[in-house]
Amino acid sequence: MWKAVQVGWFLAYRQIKRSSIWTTSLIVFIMTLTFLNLVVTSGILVGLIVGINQEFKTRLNGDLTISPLDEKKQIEKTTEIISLIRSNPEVKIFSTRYIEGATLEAGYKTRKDADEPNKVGAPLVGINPVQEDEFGGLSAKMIEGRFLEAGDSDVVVLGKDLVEKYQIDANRPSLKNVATGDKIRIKIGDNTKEYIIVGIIQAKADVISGRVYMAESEFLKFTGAVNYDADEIGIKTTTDAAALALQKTLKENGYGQFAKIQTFEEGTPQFVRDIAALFGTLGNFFGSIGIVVASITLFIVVFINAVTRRKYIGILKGIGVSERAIEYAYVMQSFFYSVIGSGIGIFITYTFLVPFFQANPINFPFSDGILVAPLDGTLIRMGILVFTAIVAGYIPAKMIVRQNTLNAILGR
Amino acid sequence: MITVQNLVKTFQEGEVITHVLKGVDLTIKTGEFVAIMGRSGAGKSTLLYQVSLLDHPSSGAVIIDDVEVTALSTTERTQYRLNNLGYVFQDYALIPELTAKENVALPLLMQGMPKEKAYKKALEVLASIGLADRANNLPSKLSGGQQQRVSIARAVAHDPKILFADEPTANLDSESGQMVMNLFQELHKKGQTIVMVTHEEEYGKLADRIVRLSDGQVVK
Repeated sequence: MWKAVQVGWFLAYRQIKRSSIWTTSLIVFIMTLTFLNLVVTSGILVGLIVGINQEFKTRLNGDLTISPLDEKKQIEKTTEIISLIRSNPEVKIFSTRYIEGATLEAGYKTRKDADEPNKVGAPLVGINPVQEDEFGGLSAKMIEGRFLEAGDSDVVVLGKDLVEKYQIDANRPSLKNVATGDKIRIKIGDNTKEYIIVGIIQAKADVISGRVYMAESEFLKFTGAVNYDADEIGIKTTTDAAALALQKTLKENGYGQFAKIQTFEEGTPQFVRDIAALFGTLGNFFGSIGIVVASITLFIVVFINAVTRRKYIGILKGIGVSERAIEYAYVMQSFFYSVIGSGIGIFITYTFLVPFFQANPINFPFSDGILVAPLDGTLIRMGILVFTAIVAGYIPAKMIVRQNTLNAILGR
Repeated sequence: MITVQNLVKTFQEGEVITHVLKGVDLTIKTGEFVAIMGRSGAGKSTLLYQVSLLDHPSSGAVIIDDVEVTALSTTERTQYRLNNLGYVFQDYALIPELTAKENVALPLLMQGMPKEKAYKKALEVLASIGLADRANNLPSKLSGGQQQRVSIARAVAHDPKILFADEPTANLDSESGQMVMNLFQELHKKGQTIVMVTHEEEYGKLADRIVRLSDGQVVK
C-alpha cells in the first residue's frame, strides 16, 4: 500500500511538473472558478440577508432593543432603565425613541372643498437628534434637505415612503407634491400643529423610511406626554457578550416585567430568519450544482488525460507497476489541481472579493448586499470540492487502468 | 527454465475466430538466448506476449522455474512481472514525463527500493550502457537508439530472470540496431536468459537458438 502511494506520488509529481503549463493552468482555472462559484453564490445570497440585518442593527435596533410589552403601549420605568443603561461601561451608545401614530396633511391651504385631502398616516417619532445620529448615522441617509439638529422645534424629517415622488409602491398612501421647505400639518388625537419639512430620509431599513421624525422635546410638548416613558430604546454595546450581560442585568433587576428586552437576534422577525434560511438553502443548492459541474469537468479532464495516456498506463502495468499505484497517481493529480484551485480561490475571496463587496456593497433595494464567507464554511466547501475532485479523478483512472494491459500497450 | 505446453491463443471478432497459436510446445533453458523468428502473422509476437505474461493464453500452460505462471491471478502476474521479467519493446515504451534515470529507477522503486538507492542503481546501469551523461534527459531529448538502450537498462536494472524483447531493432538504423544486439550479447554472456522476437536474420543468428514459427506452430 505505502509502496503504491510512493510510486503514485513519484508519477503524479512528474506528470504535473512536466505537463503543459497551459493544460495545468486551464485545469487549475476551472477548479478556481468552481470554488468561487461555490463560495460566492451562496455568500452573496446569505450576504443579502446579513445586509438587511446589519442595516437594522446599525440604524435602528442595535445589539439590544427594549420595547413595550405586548399588552402595554410604552416601556414602563423608562427613566430607571435608561439610568441603568447609562451606568453600564460596556454600552457604546443608545437612543431613546417616543412613537405615536399621527396623521400628516399637506396642501391643506390650497385645497378646495371638493378635493381629496392630501393625507397620510405615519408613526411620529420623537428623538434626540444628536444621539440618534450618533447611533444610526441617519444624517448620512438624507436624500433631501438636512437631518434634525439640537434645538429644532417646529421642523420634521419625513421618511421617503411618505412622499409620493419617492414612493415606489403606487398603492401605498403618501403625500403628494411635498418637498423640503413645505409646511405640513400633523395631527395626534385632538392636537394639530404645523411643521416645516427640513429633510427627507431614505434608509434600506424600511421602518426608517416610513416614519416622520421630530425632536424629542418638541414631541413631548406636542403630544402633551405626562411621563417620559419611551416606546423604543436601541442599545449598542462593545461586544455581543456585553449585550447578553446587559440583558441579564436588566432582567435580574426586574425590568423584564416592564418591557421586552431582546438581543438583536431575538428581536429579528421570524420571516427574516426564514428568508435567511431559504437563501442559505438556495446558496447551497446552487453550490451543489457547481460541485456536480466541477465533478463532471474533472472527470472529463482526467478521463481524456488517462485515455490519451492509455499506452503508457499499459506500459507501466507491463513493467510491473501496480494498478493501485497508477490510480493513486491520478488521484494525487486531482488532489493537486483541486487544492491549488481552491487555494487560489480562497486567496481571491479574502484578498479581493470580500474587501471589494465590503467597500462596494451590491445595491439591493432593501439591503446593502455583501459577500459573507466565514472561514470555517469556506474550508468546508474546499474540503467538499477536494473530495469530489478525488472521486472524479479516481473513477476514470480506475476505468482505464482496468483495461487489458497488452491492448493498452498496443493501442488496440 | 521456461516450459511452454500446448499453448493455444485464439482471437474472436464477431463470429470470426482466428487461431494464432495452435498448440505451441517449447522449452528454453536458463541462460539461453533464444530468437523467435517467422514471417509476418506467424504468431511470434503473440507467443512472446503469452510467455511474458503480458497476455493470457486461451489454453495451455507456461511454467517458469516450476511456477505455472498462466495460473496466477492478475495481481500476482503483475507482481511476477515486476520481480522476474524485463521487457524491451519495439517502440522503446519509455514514460515521456520521466527522465532516463527515472524510467530505469521506476521498477526498482515499485519493488520498494529507497529512491536514492534506486537512482544510484539506475545510474550504474545507464553508465554500463554508455548513457550516464544522458541520465537526466527526457526521452524526447534522446535519439531512437539511445531510447532503446534506456529501455534495455530499465528492463535489466532489477536483475530479471528473463529478458523479453519484441523486435527491439525494428525501429533503429543498422548502427543503433547493432549496438542493441551487442548489449544483448553482453548481457547473455553474464548469464541473462533472453527471449527475442525478430524478423532480421542477421540478428537472429546472434542468438544461441532460433525458434521458427509458421502459422501458429513451431516448425524448427
